Amino acid sequence: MNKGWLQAKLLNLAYLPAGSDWYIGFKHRIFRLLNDEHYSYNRYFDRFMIFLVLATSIEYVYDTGKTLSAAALIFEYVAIAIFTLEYLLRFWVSGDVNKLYISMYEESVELNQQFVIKDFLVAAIKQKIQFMVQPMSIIDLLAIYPELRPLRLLKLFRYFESTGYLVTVFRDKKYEITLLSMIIVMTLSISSAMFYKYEYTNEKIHGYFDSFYWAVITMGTVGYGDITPDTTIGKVISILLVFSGLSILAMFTSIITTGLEKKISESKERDSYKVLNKLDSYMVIIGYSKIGAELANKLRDAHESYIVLDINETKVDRAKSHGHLAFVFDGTHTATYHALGLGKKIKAVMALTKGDLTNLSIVLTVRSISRTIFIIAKANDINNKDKFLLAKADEVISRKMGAKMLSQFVNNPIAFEAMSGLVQSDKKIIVEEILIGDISNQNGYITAEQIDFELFSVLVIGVFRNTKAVDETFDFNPQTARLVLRKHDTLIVTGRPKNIEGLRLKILKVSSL
Amino acid sequence: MRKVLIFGFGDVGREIQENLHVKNENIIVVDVDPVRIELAKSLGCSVYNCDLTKDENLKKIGIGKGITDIFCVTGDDELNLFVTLTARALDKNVKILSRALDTHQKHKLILAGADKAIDMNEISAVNIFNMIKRPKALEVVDGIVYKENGFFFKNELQIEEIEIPSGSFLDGEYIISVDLSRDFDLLMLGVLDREISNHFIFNVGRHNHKIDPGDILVVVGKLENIELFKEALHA
Repeated sequence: MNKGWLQAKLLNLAYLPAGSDWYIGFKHRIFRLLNDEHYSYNRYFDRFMIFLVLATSIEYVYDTGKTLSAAALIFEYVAIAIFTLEYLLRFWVSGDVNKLYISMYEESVELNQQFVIKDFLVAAIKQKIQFMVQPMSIIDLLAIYPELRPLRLLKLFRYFESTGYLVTVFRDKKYEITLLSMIIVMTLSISSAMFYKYEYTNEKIHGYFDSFYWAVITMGTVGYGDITPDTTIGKVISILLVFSGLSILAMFTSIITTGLEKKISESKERDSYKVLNKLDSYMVIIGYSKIGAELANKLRDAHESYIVLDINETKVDRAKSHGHLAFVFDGTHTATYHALGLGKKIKAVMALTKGDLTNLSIVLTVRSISRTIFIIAKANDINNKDKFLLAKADEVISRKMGAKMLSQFVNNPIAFEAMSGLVQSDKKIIVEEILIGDISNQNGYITAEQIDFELFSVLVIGVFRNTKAVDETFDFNPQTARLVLRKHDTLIVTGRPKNIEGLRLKILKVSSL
Repeated sequence: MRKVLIFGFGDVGREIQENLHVKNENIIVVDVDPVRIELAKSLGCSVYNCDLTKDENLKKIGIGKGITDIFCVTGDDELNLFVTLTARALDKNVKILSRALDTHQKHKLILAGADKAIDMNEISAVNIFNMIKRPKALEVVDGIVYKENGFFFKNELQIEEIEIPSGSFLDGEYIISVDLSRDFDLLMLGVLDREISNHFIFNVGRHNHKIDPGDILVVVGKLENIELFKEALHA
């Protein structure tokens, strides 16, 4: 037989799927469906499998001692088919045999060696066996068999992401658990051997296994009492075994508890990142100081997306307990922002730590990465304001603002009262802006007649024309009856929040007519 | 005439002194730091270097006799609270404005008799929030209230409190029927009613408030238009 011919045929065969976009895409989608929690359909798949597992397990208990109805039987067959299919799919996506063939073949060509098909087969089988011996794969396989249906409940670990994560406690605590197991084995063998030796005449003991069984029951502090010691030495061994059993149980509990505790906090951290990944864009508050906390509450109440960063773990914990998404991070390091997906997702950064040096460093770091991110910095010392502006912060806040406000209460208190609706949070009358978006009618503008300002009981202070453009102008105190609004105009109004919201909605509605 | 006491001449006190439309000789500065006292003295303020927790010192400075406004703006919450309380006990009518370091303290200061208490952190937070949420509205308010912005200077927009003299053309009118916008190009924000306990009525909604002599109108507009309006009122 011509070996070269076979190899060439196999190579063609191996290249067939590798060259097909459709095949690769399909396999990738199946892989994500089964394994990738970020894939949207994965959630539905997991839920469906959870339902199937629970339903078949309930049926298993319910049907004990009864003859199966036809419907139940069909349901079980369908479930078995689905579980089998799932296993086969997992088997399929666990590695790419064709890619393995290609790489091994090419390697042999490059190294100018004889390509041996047997080597490839061994490697391919190894790859698949690696999949088959994984604990979850074994469970999957066993769970297909109807008589082992309760094992299907173990499959739930796969579908609940966080529980699967907890199972890794055993892996992480491998050293401790191995040590403990050795202690258990030694204790059991010593005590069962001695018990067997001294209780040889005990009529309940028919061999070494009975003695071993007694040792396990006693050490576990279960003590059925079916085998009891007759001799004094036997009783002493029992006493010692009970005490060592107690301490071993305590050790085991503490190992698992500490492991779980660590895992749970890690898992929470992972959840925070998951939420972060789902946000399209967000603001970053750096420094959970009084201002930071105050601002975070305001942003939350306004349903804005934001995160809190602080270098201090206690402060991050406090932020979390207040219900904010918070991380322990150093805002002065470039790496932080790369980890957070800066440039793509961060809209604004607010440097609000108590140190001006830190705040300045944050401003410079963020500015060095992106020119467009809106940066607000707090100058703890009023005299540092210019330095922040030099570092290209967009806005600088300081205690100046509050001091200025206080002086207005003496300068012109009534006027200030009238206009301060914006700068004070506890006001019934506020000043608000309404940006005019796309206007889809054929005129390209909307008129006061369409909006009917009378309905909303608001006062129009003015209109910015061409907001944010170079030729931006401010039209103060326009005649509302003759007002014409175009795209990118910003209306500045004062009134009750509810009325302003009504006006905003009306404008939106009129714009889309 | 206003006579103002600033208690605490740190950055906040300093900023207040700069922003007040009050001559420096009518400002009294109290602080314990000699450097700050020197600074205030060089600016022409009267200065006292004393402990305000003693009643006799407060009396000596002139609380109850001529001082119209008190700013308690030290960096010490307890001190601000204490002085607020004592000053209120000495004078029922003096206007007390205090600085609080957090929200709880704000409520305490109001209970102690402050007319206004400001939590600097809260103000900063609100400000940042507005910078993000409604920057244009903030620009307008800052421009009108603090005259901070270029084009508000250019437009010469002013905010002005105007008292209605008796017998003027607005006397007895309802605010709903007054159109200052058309006649004077002025924006009327609202009116402070002397009858209903100094209550400020915003010119929004369908308030049908009757304007009486002594009411104070708050208007925004160009200076020349405000002058024209004042002339018309007194004609």
